[in-house]
Amino acid sequence: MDWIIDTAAMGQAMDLLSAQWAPWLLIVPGLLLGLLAGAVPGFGPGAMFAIMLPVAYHLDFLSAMIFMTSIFTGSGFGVAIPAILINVPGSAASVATTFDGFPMTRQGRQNEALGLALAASCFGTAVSYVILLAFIDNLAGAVLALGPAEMLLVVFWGLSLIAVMGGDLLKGLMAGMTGLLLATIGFGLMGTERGTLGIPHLLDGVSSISAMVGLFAVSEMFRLMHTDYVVEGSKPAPLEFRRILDGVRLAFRYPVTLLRGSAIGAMIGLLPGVGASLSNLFSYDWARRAAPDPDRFGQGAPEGVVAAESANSSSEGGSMLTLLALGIPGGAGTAMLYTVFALNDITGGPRFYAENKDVVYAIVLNNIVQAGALFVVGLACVHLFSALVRAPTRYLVPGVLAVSISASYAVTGSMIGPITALVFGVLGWMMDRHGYSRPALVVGLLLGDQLEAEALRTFQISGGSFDYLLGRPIALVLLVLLLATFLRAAMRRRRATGAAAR
Amino acid sequence: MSAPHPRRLGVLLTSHLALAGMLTAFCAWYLTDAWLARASVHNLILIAPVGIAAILTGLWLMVRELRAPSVPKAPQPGTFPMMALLAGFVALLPLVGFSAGIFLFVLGASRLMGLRNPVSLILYAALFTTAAVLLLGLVVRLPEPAIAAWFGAGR
Repeated sequence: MDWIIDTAAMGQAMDLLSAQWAPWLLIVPGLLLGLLAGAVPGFGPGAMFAIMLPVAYHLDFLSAMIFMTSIFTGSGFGVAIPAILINVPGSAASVATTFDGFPMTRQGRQNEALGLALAASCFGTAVSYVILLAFIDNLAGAVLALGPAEMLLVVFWGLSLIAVMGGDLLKGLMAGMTGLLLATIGFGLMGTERGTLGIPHLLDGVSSISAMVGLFAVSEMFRLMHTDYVVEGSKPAPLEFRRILDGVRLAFRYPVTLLRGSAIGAMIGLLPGVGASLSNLFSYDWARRAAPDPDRFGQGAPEGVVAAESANSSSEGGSMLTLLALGIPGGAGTAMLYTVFALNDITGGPRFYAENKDVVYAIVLNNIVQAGALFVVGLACVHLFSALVRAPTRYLVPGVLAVSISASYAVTGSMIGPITALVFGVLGWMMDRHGYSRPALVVGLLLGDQLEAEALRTFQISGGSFDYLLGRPIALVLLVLLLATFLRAAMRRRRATGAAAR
Repeated sequence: MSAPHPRRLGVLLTSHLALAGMLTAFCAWYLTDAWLARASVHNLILIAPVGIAAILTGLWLMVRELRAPSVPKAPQPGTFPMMALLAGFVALLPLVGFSAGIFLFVLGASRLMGLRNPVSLILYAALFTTAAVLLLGLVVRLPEPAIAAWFGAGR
C-alpha cells in the first residue's frame, strides 16, 4: 500500500484555507460547544450536533464541516472532565478514563489527570488525521473499483455492525430496519409516492435533521429531567493551572502509550458503530497488559488515562476516513457530518473524494490545527467546564427543549420540523427505555436512499440473477462478513443468555 | 368496565410490548401502502425485503416479550406532563409565534421542573427567550404572528 498525498490538491487545500478567514473563526466556538457537550454527562456530542445542524445549514460546506468537526474534537476532551473529577464518564467514550482518572482525583492529582487527558486528546486527534491523510487515497481508490453490488453489501454490513453493537441483536436490527423504511418515505426512485399520508411536506421524505434533534436532544432531556443537577451530589475537586501543565508534560513521558492508543483508536474508529466507545477500553486493556507492573492500573496510573484518552480522540479520524472514503457514517457523530453533505447536495464517498481532494485535505489540515487549538481552549476553560457537572436541570432542560424545537423549524422552514422532532423525541425516549439502538435508526434513516439506489442498480445489472453475485469475489467476501456479523452477535447473545440462566 | 388507572395506563403505553407493537404496525402499514402505490420490483426492491424482515423481527420481539415479560417500569412523574407541554408548544407556535411560544414554554417547563419563585421564573423565561430569539433570528426568519398582531392593533 502506497502512502499517497496529492501535492497539487494539498496546495489547493492550503489556498482554500488561507483565502477565507470565516472557517477559522468557527473553530473556537465549535470546540467550546464540543467541550460543553462532553462535560455534561448524559447530554453528549450527539445532542449538540443535532442542535447545531441548523447553524451548519446556513454555512458553506467547508465552513460547516469545520464547525461540526470542531464540536467533535472538543467533545473528545470534554468527556474526560466528569470522568476524572466525579467518576461519571461524559459518554461511553470515556469509560476507561474513569479507571485511573478518578483514583488520581482521590489522591489529589486531579490537575495532572486533566493535563494528561488534554495532552492525549490533542495528540490522538492530530495523529488520527495524519493517518487519514496517509491512507484515504488508497482506500477511496479501492472503493471506486467496487460495483453497486459490493456497495450495497458494504452499506448493509456497516448498518448491521451498528445494529448489533447495541447489545440486543433483534432490537438493533428492528431499529436499523425501521430507519431504512422511514428513509424511503416520499417519492421513490421511480416517482411513486409512498407513506406520505397525503401530507405534502412528506413528499421529500422525513427530515433527517429534525429526526436526529428529536432522537438525541429531546429524548435526552426527557431522561435528564428527573434529576436536580446533571450529576447529583458531586463536588468537583479544586483545579490549579500550573499543575494541569505538569500533567501535560507528564503525558509525553509515555510516548509508546500515546502512539499505540492513537493507532488503536484510528483503526477501531474505521469500523461503523464501534468507534470511541470501544477503542478507549481496548487501548486501556492493551496498555495494562503491556505494562511491566500492571497492578498499578486502576490505582491512578497516568498511562491508563493516556491510553484511554488518546484512543477515544483518535477514533474521530478513523470514523472520518470511513465517512469520506466509503460515504458511510459510523455512528451518531459522523451521521450528523453525513447530513452536512446532504445539506449541500453532496453525496459522500469515493467519488466525492476523487473530485474534491482539495476540500477533503482542507478539512483534514484544519482538524490538525483544531487539535492544537483544543490544547489552548481546553487549558483556558477547564475550570468553567468542570463546574458544569453541577448544572441545575431546571434551567437546562426547558432551554434545550425550546432550542431543539426552534432549531428544527430553522432547518425545515415549516412546522413539519418541530412536529418531527417531537415525534422522534418521544420515540427516542421509548427506544432508550427498552434498549433499542438510536444510532442504528439514524444511520438507517440516512442510508436508506443510497441502499435503495444500489439495490436497484444491482438488480438492473444482474437481471435479478443471484449468479451475478457468485461471480464477484469481493461481494462474496462482504456477504460472508455480513453473515459473520449476525452469527457472532447471535452467539454472543446465546452465551449471555446461558450465563444468565446459570 | 372501569377505565384503567392513569398510572397503569402509562406503564402499558410505554411498555416494551407497546413499542415493539408500534414499530411492527408501522412497518406493516408502510409495506402495504408502498405495495398498493405500485406493486413493482423497482418500487419494492428495498421496502419489501426490509419490511417483511422488520415485521418478522417485531413479531419475534413481541412473542419473546409475552413469553418472558420484562419488569414493568412506570414512567417517572413529570415525563408525560413535559411531553404534553412540548406538544402544546409545538401546536401554539403557528398561532403565537416564537417569542411568545418560547417564553410560555420555558415558563411552564421551568415551573414543572420545580422552579417556584415567580420572579425567577419570569426573569429566566424572559432572558432565555430574548437570547434564543436573537440568536435564532441570525440564521432564520422566525414567524411572529402575536407580535405582528400586537403592533397591527396599536396602529
